[in-house]
Amino acid sequence: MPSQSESGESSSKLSSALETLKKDIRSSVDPVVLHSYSQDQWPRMLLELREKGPSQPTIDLVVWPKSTEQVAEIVKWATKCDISLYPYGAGSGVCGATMASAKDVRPKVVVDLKQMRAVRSIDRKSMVVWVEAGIIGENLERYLNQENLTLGHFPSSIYCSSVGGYLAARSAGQLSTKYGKIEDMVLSLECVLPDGTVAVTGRAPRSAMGPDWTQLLLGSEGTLCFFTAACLQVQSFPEARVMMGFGAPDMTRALDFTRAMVQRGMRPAVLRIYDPLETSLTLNSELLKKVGFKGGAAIVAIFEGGKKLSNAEAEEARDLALSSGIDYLGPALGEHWWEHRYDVSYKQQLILSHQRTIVDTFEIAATWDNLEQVYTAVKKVKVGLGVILAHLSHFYHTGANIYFSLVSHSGWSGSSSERYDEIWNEMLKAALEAGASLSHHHGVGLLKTEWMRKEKGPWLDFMRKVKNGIDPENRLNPFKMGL
Amino acid sequence: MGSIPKIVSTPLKWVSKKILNHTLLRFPGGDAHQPMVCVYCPEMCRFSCPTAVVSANDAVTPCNKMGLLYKEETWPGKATQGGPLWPIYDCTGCGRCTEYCVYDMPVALKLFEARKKYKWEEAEKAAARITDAEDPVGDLADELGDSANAKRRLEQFLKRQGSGGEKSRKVTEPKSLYFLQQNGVSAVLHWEKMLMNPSNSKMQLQKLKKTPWLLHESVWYNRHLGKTDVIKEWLKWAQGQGIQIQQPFAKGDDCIDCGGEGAYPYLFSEQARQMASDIWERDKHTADGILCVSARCAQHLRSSLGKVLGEKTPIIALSELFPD
Repeated sequence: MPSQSESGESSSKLSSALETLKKDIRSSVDPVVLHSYSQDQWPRMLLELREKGPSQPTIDLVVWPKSTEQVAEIVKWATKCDISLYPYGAGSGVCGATMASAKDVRPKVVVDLKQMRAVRSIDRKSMVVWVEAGIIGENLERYLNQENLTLGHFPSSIYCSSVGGYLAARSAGQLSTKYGKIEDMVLSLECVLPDGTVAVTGRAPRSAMGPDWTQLLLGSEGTLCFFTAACLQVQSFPEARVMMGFGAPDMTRALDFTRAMVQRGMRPAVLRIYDPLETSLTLNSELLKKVGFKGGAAIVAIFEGGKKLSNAEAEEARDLALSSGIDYLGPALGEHWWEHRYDVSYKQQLILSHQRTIVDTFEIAATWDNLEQVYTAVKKVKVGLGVILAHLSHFYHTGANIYFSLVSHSGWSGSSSERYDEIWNEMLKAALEAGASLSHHHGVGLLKTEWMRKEKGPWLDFMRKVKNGIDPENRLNPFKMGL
Repeated sequence: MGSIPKIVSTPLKWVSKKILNHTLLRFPGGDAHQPMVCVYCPEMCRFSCPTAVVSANDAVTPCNKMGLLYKEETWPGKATQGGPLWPIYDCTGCGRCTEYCVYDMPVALKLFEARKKYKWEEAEKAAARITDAEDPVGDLADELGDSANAKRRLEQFLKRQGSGGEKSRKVTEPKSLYFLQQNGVSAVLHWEKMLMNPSNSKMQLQKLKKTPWLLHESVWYNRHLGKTDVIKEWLKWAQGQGIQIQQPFAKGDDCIDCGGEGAYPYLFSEQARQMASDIWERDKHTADGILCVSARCAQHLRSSLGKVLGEKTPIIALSELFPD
């Protein structure tokens, strides 16, 4: 995709625009910087990098606003100069949501919000924190821990992702079964709209003053507005943590057990089912043997919070296991998982550093009645020399998420990215036909743009009308999400 | 696997795991410290990097700096478009990224070594500005890729040390920033000696009583020379002596580098000032003064925070408190 700066007309357009950009707004046209911001962690782009080497930057300028006011100034400047804007957090998205679209012919400017990383205030009475969108998740969590608080949001990307990114893609953390996804934690959003208006969405935990704008804007992936700050609920740092491991002979019984657990009102912070293949290939076999795992699907559960309540819930989970034909395996499996809970994020480079390999993850959500058929349908997708592993890690009263991990060889003909597209199309088709929503927490980006219509149907037209209404020139993250 | 008898599936799984561990789950060539490893990493070290956090610039995350090295070596000029590899100079050497990398990637070491190959005009200018007095043992020159001055200053230093037991030590060619450690002449040795013999230091420590101090451990020394335990032991002892010392953020285990040690402030002065300021702003409610380990760090904090702190907030370096 050639950068606009290659075309003379666009280059001169950007140069004259730069003259009018306020001097106190930091910016860069350095080629190394443009290169860094031209892709996120979408595995497809990593495959292309591996096979073709670095491509030309796809963007023309990066700016780093320091305040909400500066974001508003940038938006007004972009309107005046006919420039498109790409909101950017930590670039850890895996669907290409921050990448410039080839269809966009205007000068493209990435707006990196990471200079906006302040914790503005903590309200201990209402248990909320106002935090700017650019802060990295782990740095926010450590800040809160100093105050004996926790956000309760622990995506496996917590070391490399920002609050703004969580909001943009409706992120989920590993402890979501107790604390919820990010959309369950947001009380209010501070937004900069495409006309430069600064607006705050909510002021109370619930409101009947019309539709909920917070929920409309969450997950819009930078297509409707910039998120500059958010008011998030926080929790007291847990007094106790009870680790548990279970073994189920097969997926059906594992699903029945976990469904019963959440539908009876138990709220483990962590609840995970590993399907038999993922159990045997990724969990520590010596540990499994030691705890008496008999094969099938391993389950990890962790209850946390007040000591008495956590122990009581754990006790009830043990009783439920006993009456459901599930083996209780003691605390070791849970302890081991907790210790290594982010390690999986370091496997990607190991696999991708081998030529012609493909690796990616696909996270769907489905209601309990569809869950097993979605699992079976996606597992049946032919991936050639490779495997699809699966685990479930986010549970609800009405359903759950399945997280599929694809590891495959791309074959010896054609490019790896073409094979990647083929496999993805098959997986998406299988999941959609079996009744799943095609993303639980990674979002849409460029990867699933074509599938928005298939899943959303007429609601995509409605969304387009909303987009046209507030961003008629399609200036914010254009051509994403089918918009 | 459910329908396959266990007698077949168990050895199959065992063989599959063995094969995977020797192929897919092993880096090509078996080297987990090659820059390519970082190219495909989701940047799990990002939060820990003081320069990436303070600059907010993705070009200087540890992964992108290492990735840039790999790309330049594999596809010369494509990522830089012929420009300098300046991001490899945007590193304080604090080593926190290595600490959080499951492969223990020695990012700072690799970057500092690469500086000798990939020159940057700004670094050369900075090296030229640094005097022998500012860089008595040559580590700043070494960090900026100025091998000639690094070696000369180190030799002069050893000569001056003459009777101090360093005389007979052979000076090796500096290979990296860590040549101080390799040659065993780091200032660390001085304060380590002092810290490990606290009974000799009671008089000086009286000066530290009454005021609560915020400890700016010098992460450069601590993490790279492996002296964290020495600092922790000393801290415990000093607190036992009635000195109030607050450890910064996350109870002292995750101090963000203040950027004051090494050559960093000579190249990125505004960012280094911001790093110092961020730490103080975050933790100032805990103390009335700042206690550092190294003199350079203290000097950096004085120049960075002087106007903010005023005369009422002292900054003391242990190495100044206990002169040789």
